[in-house]
Amino acid sequence: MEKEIFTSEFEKMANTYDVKLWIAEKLGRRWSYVIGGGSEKFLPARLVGEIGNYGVFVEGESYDVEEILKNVGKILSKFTDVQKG
Amino acid sequence: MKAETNWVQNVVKEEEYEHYMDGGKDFIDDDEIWEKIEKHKSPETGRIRSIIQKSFNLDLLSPDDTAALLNVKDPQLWDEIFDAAGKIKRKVYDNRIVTFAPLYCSNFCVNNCLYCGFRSDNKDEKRLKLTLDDVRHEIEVLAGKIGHKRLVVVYGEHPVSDVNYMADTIRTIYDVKVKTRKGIGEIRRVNVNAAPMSVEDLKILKDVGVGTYQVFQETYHHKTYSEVHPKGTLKANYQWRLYSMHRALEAGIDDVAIGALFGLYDWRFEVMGLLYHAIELEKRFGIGPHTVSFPRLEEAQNVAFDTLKYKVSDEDFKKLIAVLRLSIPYTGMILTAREPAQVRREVLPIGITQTDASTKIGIGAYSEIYGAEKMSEKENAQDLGKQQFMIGDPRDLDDVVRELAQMGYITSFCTAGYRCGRTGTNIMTLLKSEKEGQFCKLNAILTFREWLDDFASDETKKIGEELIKREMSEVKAKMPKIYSEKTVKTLENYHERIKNGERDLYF
Repeated sequence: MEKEIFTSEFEKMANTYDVKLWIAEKLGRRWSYVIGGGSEKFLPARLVGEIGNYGVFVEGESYDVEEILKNVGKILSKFTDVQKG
Repeated sequence: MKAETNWVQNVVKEEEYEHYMDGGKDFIDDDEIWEKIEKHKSPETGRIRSIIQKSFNLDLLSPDDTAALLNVKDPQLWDEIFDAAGKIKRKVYDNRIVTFAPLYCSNFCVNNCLYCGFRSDNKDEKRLKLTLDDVRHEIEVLAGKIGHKRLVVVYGEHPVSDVNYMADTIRTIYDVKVKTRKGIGEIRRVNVNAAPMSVEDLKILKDVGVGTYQVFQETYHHKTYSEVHPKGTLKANYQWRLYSMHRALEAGIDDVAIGALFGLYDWRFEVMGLLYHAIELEKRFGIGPHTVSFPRLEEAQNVAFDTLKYKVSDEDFKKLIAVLRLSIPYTGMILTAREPAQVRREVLPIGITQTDASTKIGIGAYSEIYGAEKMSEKENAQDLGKQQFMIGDPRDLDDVVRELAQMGYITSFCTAGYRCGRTGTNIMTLLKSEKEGQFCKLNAILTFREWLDDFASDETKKIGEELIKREMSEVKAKMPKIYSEKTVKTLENYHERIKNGERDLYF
């Protein structure tokens, strides 16, 4: 349920910026998908920010990185709050 | 010997799979599988055609539908199934064939599987384990001379090749960079074929960044499984093996691969077993198998198994591949150099997505560390005293790439997905929505360009250049319906930069 709620938040944000957006966990050379949203753009994915072992990837033509990171931060803090109960 | 015994006693952790079982039963019900195969003994043509159509939705088929396909007798209907299998492959993966090489790191093994050359009772097998220096030498050949970017590393089950050794070898592989004609050669994705492991060990593998983790069940038939894996050995525990992928997914490895060794039991049963395995993984984790393998049992040294009883004919081999393609439409399907070139040519168009070439399966065989094979004596070069089985197609990568190009396929060296989070549920969605194939096309062009410039013979390069032109035109033709102008421009830009010596640019 929580995952569905956060997926929907990512969907909304991705649609707002017309990008595909996702969080992945770094494991050695591997980035494993965690959660995200938006439709495929067939453009190179760009790692726009890292929080600990997690990275924020964006695929899109043009977007404001700072704004996206700020909004991702908001979603993640909500998630952390939920986790803390 | 005592240390080995202690190690063996601590490998299996029943508590890590028992909670997945239902009333003490695993998800493979032998009787149910045979009942379904019997029940659909004479499927009507109309029903088969509707199952074929259903498979184009790219969802798993039901066991009843797969059982019906397995019972088709009409050769014309089989032709329709083969044709559909090829179309489904193209729908999901386009015309690309990913290539890789196996790297056998160690053949020490505590098991005694009756069909395997590595069995502990085979005293004629020369037991070897690559040192990290040996690994470096092997990679210098694989990545620096042949041009592979993707490996599957193989280890026998033994304390000398435990998970720490695996992690060390994988780190070493990733570290090797070799100067090539115009750029740098390196291995970018290491898949692992190893024994079942605990969640704790799998987390160690996850942390070094493995690509796909594969464990083959060998046979899904319980009775046969216990007959060929002698009691008292680690591998005798059917469920420990069957739930390997559950533990891998639990550990966070989200690209998992399954397979069966065809020839141990009835091939139709094994196809059903693979389907049930895929259904179980999707149900539990929402992630099906990244790839399915279907090796046929081959001649090995000092085996104690009747390899003829369930031998899979070439005709049935083709059928099982097609039925698997229709039953698990989104999965990658791996055809290896175990098979002779002629068989590979015939079955490739019915759904194969990955294949190996320049294959050597002896320990240290690529760099001939242990005085191994000379490729100039291809037919006699294989030494069963140092390898698990005989390979059927020893052609080198250049020959295979050229032939694939002549057949209309582009060889892809792409390893992009797992380096940008196209894994797990993300890749499953992309595969089922036919979008992954669009990525495959772009990355196939870019990695093929790298390989042509760094490794191809003149003859292959000439054919390859034509193929790239054709692929570029196809991409442009899909604009704007699939690709945007920006995508095409980026592709052209990357292509030019690669021609000028840059490497590892990908979508």
